[in-house]
Amino acid sequence: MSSGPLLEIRDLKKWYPARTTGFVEGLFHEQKYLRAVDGVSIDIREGEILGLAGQSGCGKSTFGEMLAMLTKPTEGDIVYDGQDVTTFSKEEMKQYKRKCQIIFQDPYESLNPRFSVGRIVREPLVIHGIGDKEERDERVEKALSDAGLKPPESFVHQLPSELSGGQRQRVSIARALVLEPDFLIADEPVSMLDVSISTGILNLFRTLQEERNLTIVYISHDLGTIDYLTDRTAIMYLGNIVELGPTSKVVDESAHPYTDLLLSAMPNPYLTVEREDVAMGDVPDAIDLPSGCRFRPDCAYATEKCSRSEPPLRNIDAEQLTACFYPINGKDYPEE
Amino acid sequence: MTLLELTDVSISYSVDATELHAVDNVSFDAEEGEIIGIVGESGCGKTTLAKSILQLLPPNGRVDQGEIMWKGEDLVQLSRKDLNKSIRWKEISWIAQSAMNALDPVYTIGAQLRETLKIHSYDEKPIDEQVDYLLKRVGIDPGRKRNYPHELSGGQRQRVVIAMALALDPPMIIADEPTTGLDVGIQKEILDLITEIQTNRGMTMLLITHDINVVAEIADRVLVMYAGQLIEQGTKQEIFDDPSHPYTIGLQNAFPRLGQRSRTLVTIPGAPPNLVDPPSGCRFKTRCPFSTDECSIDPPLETTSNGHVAKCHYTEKKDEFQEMGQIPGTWVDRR
Repeated sequence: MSSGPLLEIRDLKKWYPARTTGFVEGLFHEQKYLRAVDGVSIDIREGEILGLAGQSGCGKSTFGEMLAMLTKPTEGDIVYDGQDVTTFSKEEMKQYKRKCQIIFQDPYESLNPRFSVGRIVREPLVIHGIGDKEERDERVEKALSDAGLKPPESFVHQLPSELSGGQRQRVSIARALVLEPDFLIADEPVSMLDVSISTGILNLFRTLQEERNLTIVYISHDLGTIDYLTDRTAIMYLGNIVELGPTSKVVDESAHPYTDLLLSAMPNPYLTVEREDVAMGDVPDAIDLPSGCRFRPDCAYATEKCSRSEPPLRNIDAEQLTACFYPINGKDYPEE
Repeated sequence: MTLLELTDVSISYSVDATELHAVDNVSFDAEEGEIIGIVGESGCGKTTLAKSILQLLPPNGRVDQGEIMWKGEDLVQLSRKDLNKSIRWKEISWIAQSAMNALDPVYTIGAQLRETLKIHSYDEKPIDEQVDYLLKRVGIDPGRKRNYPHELSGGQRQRVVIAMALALDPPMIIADEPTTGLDVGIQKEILDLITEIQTNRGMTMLLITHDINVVAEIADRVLVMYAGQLIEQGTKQEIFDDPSHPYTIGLQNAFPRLGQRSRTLVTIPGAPPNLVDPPSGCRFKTRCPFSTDECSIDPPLETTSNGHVAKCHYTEKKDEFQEMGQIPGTWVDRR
């Protein structure tokens, strides 16, 4: 299913200028930055579903927006098909955006309430000047039916307000599919849907991966759905990836203490073993970062070494990477 | 001791000259000191039901029938003035879903806590001392009482809302989606805080949520609602280990479980019925893979074991349903 990288992301950064409290302070202090994404490198493989997990403010959504080039990176490269996307001309960017589609969390706000379903799904074809009327109709119907809205002709004339939340999210997916993209970024696509509905959307992503070899970046705070859906998982903390590997390994044999903490905070009715009581709160803000490892202040295993230097994301076995000097679960972190 | 007793409560909303029957004939009791979780999907009537207890329904909503007895007094019949004076905050308090909306943005959190205490003529201790105590109780530095809501994080705001609910030390708290929209880490913190307070004070809690995991985390007893009706009720173990209503069985198999990634999750076909004109008979029948002709007759709440009830004609076949319910192919659209 998966082969070489579809996208190579190198040292990607998004820094936002942080507001200082007053004019005088602004004069005498250097400009501070909120490091939403702070040097992320990862290969996204063709045909894989990659999960991106972390708490609010960890930078996962900003990262997704940069992949779709909806947010311009401060620094770093996104290499697609041998070319750096961040240096694309307007015309090249239009072509790139055809290949890369994004789906948002809220199906109630991401669809124009005055457009019929048919028009919503047709619009990308119009923007990209693809096909004549007949071909467009055909592609719209195929996209609707691939997104599970069957029969498509019963949906084309409906307005979003006439659809349920799950059906609306399927319309967003159809709109993304109509351009036959290479990859899809789905940012919390099911977090606003009821359980009985959201499973259908997750299963649809799987079908799309199997049938179209579609690459999907699935962003969610919910490790339960990540575990169910994805092939590989990246755990983000304060703008960095702290762990990356096959989902089964990240979940069952997590190496980074933060991953462990995140997993233990998930309510789980079917857990058979008693959980340790963990304290876990807000992620600190990404402006005044601690020295060394960013997770150090909240880490139960931190030593003096962790405050001296920041552990890079390195392989602990063939598939699993972690950014921790002292990985848990008997793993060894290579010394410099 | 039974604190709260709802009998045959039906609630409707007037919407554009039609009646939407949001809650239909719901009865349940709340015993002193227990945490009851009410779960169900959007529009199942769980929040409407909870709001009716404190007469918090919007102007177009009303209780059509039934009794809501609190320590022997019918809250439905009580005037709003009497309810304000003797029930709200003192006997039953409310933790709202969105902490940002529940707090007034132009007053400091200290002022808002003080107001709650003052209005209800709290005079056991000096009010300022009590404000400090309450903030400490929910894990917020009392020095923060001079802060405005926007200066606090989402988790801290939710803690302040909990502090307000605790202000007059009521025997019962109703929490409507207290952790929805909060980060996983903060969710854990808030749930731990709620459990701790409940254990220490022996408080009775009604917890309304769409998240079955949250209920599993802290509830003693679970009520499952579907299309305005109570369709299953039992202890947490009964609901999770031995679900008897096909809807509950479906939900159980629709939830991803960590570490069981090979399991294919089921999708319950269709959508809940329109409650303006609810279908006759079992309201789940059009989505239920096990429904028969008999399901056009409204099923009673059948007891499957002591205290465990389900609104289904076929509760005796629950073992078979549980087994078949795990197979995604069972849940095909039959319409």
